[in-house]
Amino acid sequence: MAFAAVATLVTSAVAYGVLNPPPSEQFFAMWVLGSEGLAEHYYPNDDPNLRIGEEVNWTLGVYNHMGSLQYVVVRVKLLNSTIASPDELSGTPSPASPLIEFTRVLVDNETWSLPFKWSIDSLDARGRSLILTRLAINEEHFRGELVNAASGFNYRFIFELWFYDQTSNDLSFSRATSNITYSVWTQIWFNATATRSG
Amino acid sequence: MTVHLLRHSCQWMLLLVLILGFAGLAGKGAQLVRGQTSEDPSDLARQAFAQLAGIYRSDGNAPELVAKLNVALELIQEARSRKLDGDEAGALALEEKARAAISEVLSEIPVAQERAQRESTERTLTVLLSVPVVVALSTFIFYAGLRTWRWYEKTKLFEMRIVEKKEEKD
Repeated sequence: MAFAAVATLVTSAVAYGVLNPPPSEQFFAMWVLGSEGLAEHYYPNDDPNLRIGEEVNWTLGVYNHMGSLQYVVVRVKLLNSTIASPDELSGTPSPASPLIEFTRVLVDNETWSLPFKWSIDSLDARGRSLILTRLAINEEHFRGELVNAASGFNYRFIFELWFYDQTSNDLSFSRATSNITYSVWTQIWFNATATRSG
Repeated sequence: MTVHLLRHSCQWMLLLVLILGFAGLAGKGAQLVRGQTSEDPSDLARQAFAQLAGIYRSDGNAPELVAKLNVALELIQEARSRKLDGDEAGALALEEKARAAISEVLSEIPVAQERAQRESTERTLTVLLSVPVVVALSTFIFYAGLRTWRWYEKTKLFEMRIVEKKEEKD
């Protein structure tokens, strides 16, 4: 009888362990890949000094390992070196307004890949500054004084990953767990030259 | 005096009716505004997402609804792009399409919720039934194994005794 009780306890413990594994770490991941789907060849001829009309092919990737269904938004911002980047410590996004955003609902363990094809359509010189005035992203055209940089150096695309927070009923850039703030973003720098690509 | 009082009370009643009327109109207006904002396709998409997330939280799944919602989100994105290009009519048509797709998702959610609940109950029952079965079976196998081993040892000992006795006789 005692044997049966011990055996029951042991097998029950094993069964419980198998049926209720410890929860895995929850995270989002985001990346940008180059023209061949690898972490290289981000610019045509590997030259970050881009000319007008030169097409750049990237692939954005987002991975959901939050253990639940997630509503994610990738906000793309165009910055220079002086505009603030997102702050990971405080979990605040960059103050620049997004140029374009991509939204999708991801199930747990799903990877989302989306093409990000872009080119500079026009640049205006003002003193020593080069102002990016026309840009095309995935055949969508953006006009206006998008961003300026001294001598056309150090422009950057910032990709921020936002998610829909059901408790606040709004999109959120960062999440806090046990006093640590997590946010996901990445950036790629480039320079622009006012010459037209041949 | 009575006529004066009557006139006063009539004026008060009229004022009260007017106030109530204005309050009712304001309420209706607010409802209308709320109704309009909830018709925004992005808001509708988030509503649908919240309900789908509930299904997934209760261990259910609805991949076909998630796929439909993603198509609607792509339509919203395309509408935004059209608006940027100045094609208001095209943008409105796409937004309408997105709204229809999300409404379809929203209408199919109760069925998916019901299915998720049924599947969850079935899973719980399976676990509840399978755990005692597995426990009883493993206990029986262990017990039978132990008995077999003991029987094997006994026969071995018996054989050894026969051999010993044979040797003693020789």
